[in-house]
Amino acid sequence: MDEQLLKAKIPCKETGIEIRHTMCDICTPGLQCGVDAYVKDDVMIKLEGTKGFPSNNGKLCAKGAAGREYQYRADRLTRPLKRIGERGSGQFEPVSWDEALDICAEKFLKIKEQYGPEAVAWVCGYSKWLRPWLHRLTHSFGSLNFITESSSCHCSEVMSYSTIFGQFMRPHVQGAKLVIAWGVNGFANNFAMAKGLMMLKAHGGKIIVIDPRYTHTSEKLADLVLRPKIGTDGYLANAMANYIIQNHETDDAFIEQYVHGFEEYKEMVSHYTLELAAEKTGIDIDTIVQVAEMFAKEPKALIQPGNGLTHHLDGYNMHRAILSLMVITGRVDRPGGYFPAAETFCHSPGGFPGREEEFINSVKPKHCKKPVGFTRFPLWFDFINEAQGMDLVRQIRTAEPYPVKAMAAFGVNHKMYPDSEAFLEVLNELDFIMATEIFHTTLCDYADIVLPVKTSYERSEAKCYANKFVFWTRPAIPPIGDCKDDVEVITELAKRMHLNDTLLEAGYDEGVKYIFDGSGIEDWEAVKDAPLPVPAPNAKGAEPGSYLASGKRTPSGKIELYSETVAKYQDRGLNPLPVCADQDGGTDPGSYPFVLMTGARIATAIHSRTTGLSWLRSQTKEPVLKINPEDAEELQLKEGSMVRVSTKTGSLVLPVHITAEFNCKEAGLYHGFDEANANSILAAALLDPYSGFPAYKQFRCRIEKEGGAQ
Amino acid sequence: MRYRFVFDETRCSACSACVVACMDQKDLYPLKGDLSFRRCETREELKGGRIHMRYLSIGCMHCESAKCIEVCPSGCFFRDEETGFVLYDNTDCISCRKCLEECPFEAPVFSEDSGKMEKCDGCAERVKHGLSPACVQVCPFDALQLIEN
Repeated sequence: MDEQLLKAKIPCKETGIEIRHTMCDICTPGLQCGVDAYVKDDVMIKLEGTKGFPSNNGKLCAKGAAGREYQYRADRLTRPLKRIGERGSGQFEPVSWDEALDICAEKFLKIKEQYGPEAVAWVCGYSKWLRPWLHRLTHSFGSLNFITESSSCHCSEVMSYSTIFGQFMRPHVQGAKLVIAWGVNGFANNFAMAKGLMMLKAHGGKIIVIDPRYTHTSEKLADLVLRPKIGTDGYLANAMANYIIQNHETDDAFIEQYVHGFEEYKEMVSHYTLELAAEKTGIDIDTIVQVAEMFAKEPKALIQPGNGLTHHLDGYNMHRAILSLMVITGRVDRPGGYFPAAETFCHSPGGFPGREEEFINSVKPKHCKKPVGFTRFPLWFDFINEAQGMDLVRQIRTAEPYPVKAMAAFGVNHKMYPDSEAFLEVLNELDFIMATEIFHTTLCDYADIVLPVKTSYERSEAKCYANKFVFWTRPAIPPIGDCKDDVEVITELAKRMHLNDTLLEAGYDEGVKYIFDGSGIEDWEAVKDAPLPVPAPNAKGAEPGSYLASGKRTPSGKIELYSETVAKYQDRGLNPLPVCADQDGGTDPGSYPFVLMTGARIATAIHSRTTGLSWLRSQTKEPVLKINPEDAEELQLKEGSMVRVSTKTGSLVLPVHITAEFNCKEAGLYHGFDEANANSILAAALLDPYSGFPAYKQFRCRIEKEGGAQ
Repeated sequence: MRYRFVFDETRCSACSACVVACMDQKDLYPLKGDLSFRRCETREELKGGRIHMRYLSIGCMHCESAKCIEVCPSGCFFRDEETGFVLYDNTDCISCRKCLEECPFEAPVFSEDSGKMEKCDGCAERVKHGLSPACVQVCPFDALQLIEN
């Protein structure tokens, strides 16, 4: 009987299996679903979602469900390593933590002494949980060169919202009756978001999907589907605005009271005729009119814009053009509109005043060199309190405006960077590299010291959720080998570099208590003991109207359709209005007739983090090049035929998957795979001049049958 | 208490969470040649020039009149009176694959490891202990459900 219970993994006295509460940290910090780890003899033998948890209520996505394989991957790092061979050779010898940390501290201090504190780049990829601590360490070290992968994700949309509203905002889907899901497909990457739309639909709401791809959301929920050509969404948005203005469907009282630059905006969009939009997007005029009418006439119409919109050569303006539609119709700071988003801690809202910004900026150096990216992307720094990492490779290579000589890489993966091979090559020019990682990645092979770190199941971590809850885990299982957690590494470095930062040196728990000071929670051990997130006594939800009533943190004090911040950079060719630029991916359409969209999310992968998991790989076609049936026929391709996809930067050989998910002359490729790394063929120089973002979704390419026509 | 599995296609997006949860629950490892007892499929159709996607999660439905019970020459399959699930004892399995051929869902799988046919047991032991089957528990959209008869 016991054997049967054991085989079925029943948690009970007879089996010795107990459930320990932890969280998943495989994808972004926005969700971080609650996980019940089934643990026997300190080994996780199964996991499932925690019932009653605010973000997932007992459910998990495919990636989260694969957490056990992630935890026990064969390439987990288990002890600190010191490189003994050439960079990239993978030859290491094990060293003690003391020796490894001493070497790192000594090297960083030596480089600081020789070149200045800015010569060390403190870079964070995934996981993201350590960011406030690494940011503070960077500042205490005397530099502003704190860099994250948000240089290519999330920050551009923060810029876009902040440009218009003076702060980050979020669409309030629960209060809407019509949602335009614009480049959004939560079925692949955020099931809570998809469920929000399912709920809306079940309650009689309408959904319009605007996306070049035909997605799960298009199929399952859309009342109307629009598929603009890749990169033309800005034309659609501006033409809709023009139509709405021409037909007097704007909220004039709202504009009069709260909006800055409407006349200039109105003049600008007047050039975006329905004819022009139809020509650029490939969508017929009647449909554009239909969407504009549906949007303008429904008082509770909401545009939910996807982050992928910012991954175009004019992604920042495209995103801004879309948000502007909500401004001219007055859908701001009211149910079903855009609400102020208070990111209390690690991009999550706690609903109480947090001190994360103070934690980071109270030690910000006042006199130091400008951060990486400043000369090239100055607008970024009006909104974002970190360096623009997409300029890092160039700066290391050229030492302009000053040399960067060392990198502390926390979970950094070269495959995230466009022209990924160039990122690896430039590492050879650094004097010292420290890498913390969960798994042994290619980048680790280039590091001088590699430090093994814990997964979320192995560490203790605090979070806040849903404007209300605070959660703090205890380790569910002991760490593999000799792993520490990233914040322990940061704290130890701070001590060994004698930065005299007592709060940082006090460790993670003290930092959390400082940041969560305003939560009203007093007994933190009780929070750690609680099986579920606990409500913070001081938490209160967003109050509609409070944003409009208080001053907007824009230069004009109003909601800016015409951005006074961008206006400072007109001499650099930046336009204060959300205009569209004709972008063709930097090459001529004749030689490169296809537009390649990389990185559109799939349900069974997140970047490169899950490509090593057999459970997910068994369910994943990728890496494949997705192309339309008509193109496949023209190229004489069958399902699985091998093709070469080439850009000006390089080429990849991989099988095709034939699908009408993509329109003709457009193709799709998910990133993160070693066998065919999408980002390795994207040019590093093709960046949005406003945000510095790579145009992951918009590269021209050529597709040829590999091995010639048969 | 007897149960039946219900699959609501309108709620499924073929995300594979059910497949992975099944492999986690049943210790199935693709690298060893194991197959999951569930599979997800996206079927794409073009109807009159319009694209249409079907998203499916397919596994044993523990049919009321189960073909596998009927056709197995070794009598491996039987009805569990307590749960109503179709369970099996594959000691006598000769891997003739008749169960697979006759199953409308192609649910039984051949295990390289044991050299015999295996299939979903509805997580019967979990259900008897008041827990949901792993696939039902994980499904983010409640496309898979276990209903009491």
